[in-house]
This record gives sequence, structure tokens and C-alpha cells, in this order.
Amino acid sequence: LFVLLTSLYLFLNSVMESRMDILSLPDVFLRQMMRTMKIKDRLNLRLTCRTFEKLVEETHAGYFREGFITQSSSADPHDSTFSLVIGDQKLDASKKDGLEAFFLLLGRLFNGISFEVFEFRLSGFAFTFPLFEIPSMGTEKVTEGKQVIEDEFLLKFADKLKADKLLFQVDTRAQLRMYACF
Amino acid sequence: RIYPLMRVTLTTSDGASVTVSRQLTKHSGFIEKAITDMAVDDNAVPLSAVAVDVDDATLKLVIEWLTEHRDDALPYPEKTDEERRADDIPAWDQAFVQKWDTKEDQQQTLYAVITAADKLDIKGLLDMTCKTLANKINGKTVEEMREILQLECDFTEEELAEIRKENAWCEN
Repeated sequence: LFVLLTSLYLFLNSVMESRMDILSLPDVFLRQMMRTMKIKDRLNLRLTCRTFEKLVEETHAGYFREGFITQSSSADPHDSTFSLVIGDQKLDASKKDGLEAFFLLLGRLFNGISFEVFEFRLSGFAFTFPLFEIPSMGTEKVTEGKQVIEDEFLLKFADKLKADKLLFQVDTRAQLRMYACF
Repeated sequence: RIYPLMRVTLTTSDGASVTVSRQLTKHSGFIEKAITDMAVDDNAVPLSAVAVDVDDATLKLVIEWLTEHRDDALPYPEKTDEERRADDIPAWDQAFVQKWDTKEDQQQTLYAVITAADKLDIKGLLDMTCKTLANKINGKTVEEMREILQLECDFTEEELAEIRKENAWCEN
């Protein structure tokens, strides 16, 4: 019985040893792999298990050739809708649905992202800026048009963003002043 | 300067010895550092044995890959500021990975080679294996990802529902 149990133990032990776990792979490897993942795959990986959910959150999304933020027109004058495009993935955010939840998701999808070119396509719309603060200029209120763009939205996103080239489409001097925040 | 005819003896974790050309080991940061630390004359042939924490079977695969890539440029180009693609694996490398027997063995062998590439600090091999694994899961469903990566779902139904709700922002 002892020999049998010992053999069984050794067999099980060798099976356990031969089954390598992806999560035991070097951290440098997993981080490098996460840089090749598309946003859609990062979304799915979040759902696989707790460890991968954490890995998605704590890794860089990699380098994308282009991305942009654009404002979509909304029938509701009190709402504002933005689209954030990263590579071939579009993320829509609506003020009415709660931008906080959107920021939360961005924070859980990557800890940084790089672009060759990132564009803020915010011209062509009438904006009303809420109160915002420019360090050197104090707080000012700009009221133009009906749509509301949250400077907080842009600042929060810019926090994670690194781009070789940033492009801004602006219509007004007020918009230019706000971009000075970046 | 690397002397192509100089040979290095590597001893594996399971006690085997393999002698290889310095032309191959120059791609391994770990072996190169070990040789430098020995402070031996570069003309000494063969060099003293370098112990590597890799088993014989895996080291043979690593050497096979190094032999094919012996003329690759050094240092290995870091691509942090370029879009990282996973679909540009050279044909020889693809065939090299695919020839590993059964599906499960392939995965285990791949993991062993990844670990060896990390321990031996072979950036080109680590990069290739990284792309290989990424290609296996790119575009797959959550269930397929779990199956490929052999992951157990440890979320509660409520937690899964919450993550799906967060993900819904992107699923348009």
C-alpha cells in the first residue's frame, strides 16, 4: 500500500509540475503580451478571471497609430456625447449615462496608452464650457452654444495618454485657452 | 568582439551538457554576462561551463531557434514606440512552434520556452513567443480564452454581471 501511495503521489506530483500556469510566466512576458492586445481582447480578458482582470488594469495598452476624441451631436441639449476611438475600437460616453462610469472603465482597461497621432476633434460644435481652472489664468466661465464639453473628461483621459503628435481642432479662443491646460 | 569558432559548454538543470558556438550564445544576455563575470581570456577554448536553469529538452529547442537566428542583429531592437503587431512572425518561427506535437504539449512546451527565453535573456525569442501566445487569444471569446489559457473563472455571477456592465460602454 505504501509503494502504491508513493507511486500515486509521485505520478500526481509530476502531472502537477508538468502543467505550467500562464500566470506563472515571467511578469515581463505578460506585460509585453498585453501590449499586443486589442481593446476588444482586453475587454474579454477582464472577464476570464480575477488575475487577468487585474493584469488588464495594471498594464499598458501599447502603441496605436491613431486615435481621436470627437463629440457627437445629441438631440438632448442638456446631454453631451463623446466618442473615443482607439485603433478600431469605439467607446461612447454620454454625460447623461454618467461619465464617471466611463472614466472608471478606462481606468480598468489600461494604465497607459500611446499613440503616434491623437486628435481632439472638437470643432464644428457649439460648446459651453463649465467652470474650469487654468492655473495661470484663474477660473473663468465661457458660455457659447448649447453642447457641454467637460474639461474634466479631457484632463482625465490626457492623464493616461502619450502621443508623438497631438492635434486639436478648435473653433474658439476659449477652446484654445482650455487646451493650454494640457 | 565575438569569436565565431569559440565554444561554450552549458550545463542544464537536469545535468546534461551541451557545447555551442559563441555565435549563438551572444544572443543570450544571461550567458554573455556569465562569460564576462568569469573574466576568462576570450581565446580560451572551450570556456568553462555555464550553468543554466533550463532543462535539456527545452535548451535543445532554444539552441535550434538560436541557430536559425544566429545572424540576427544585436542588440535586439526595442519597439516601445511602434505599434506592436502579433501577425509578423517569420515563417520559420511559425513552423518551429507548430511542430511541437499535441495541442497540450505545444502549450506546455511554449510556456517552457518562454520561461527559458526570460531566464537566458533572449529578447528575440521572448518577443516571438509573446506574439505566438497573443495570436492564440486574439479575437477569441471569453470562454475560448479561458480554455486556451487554462484559466478557471473565479468570479461570482454578480461580479461577472458588473464587469459586463462596465464593458458595455465599449460594446457598440
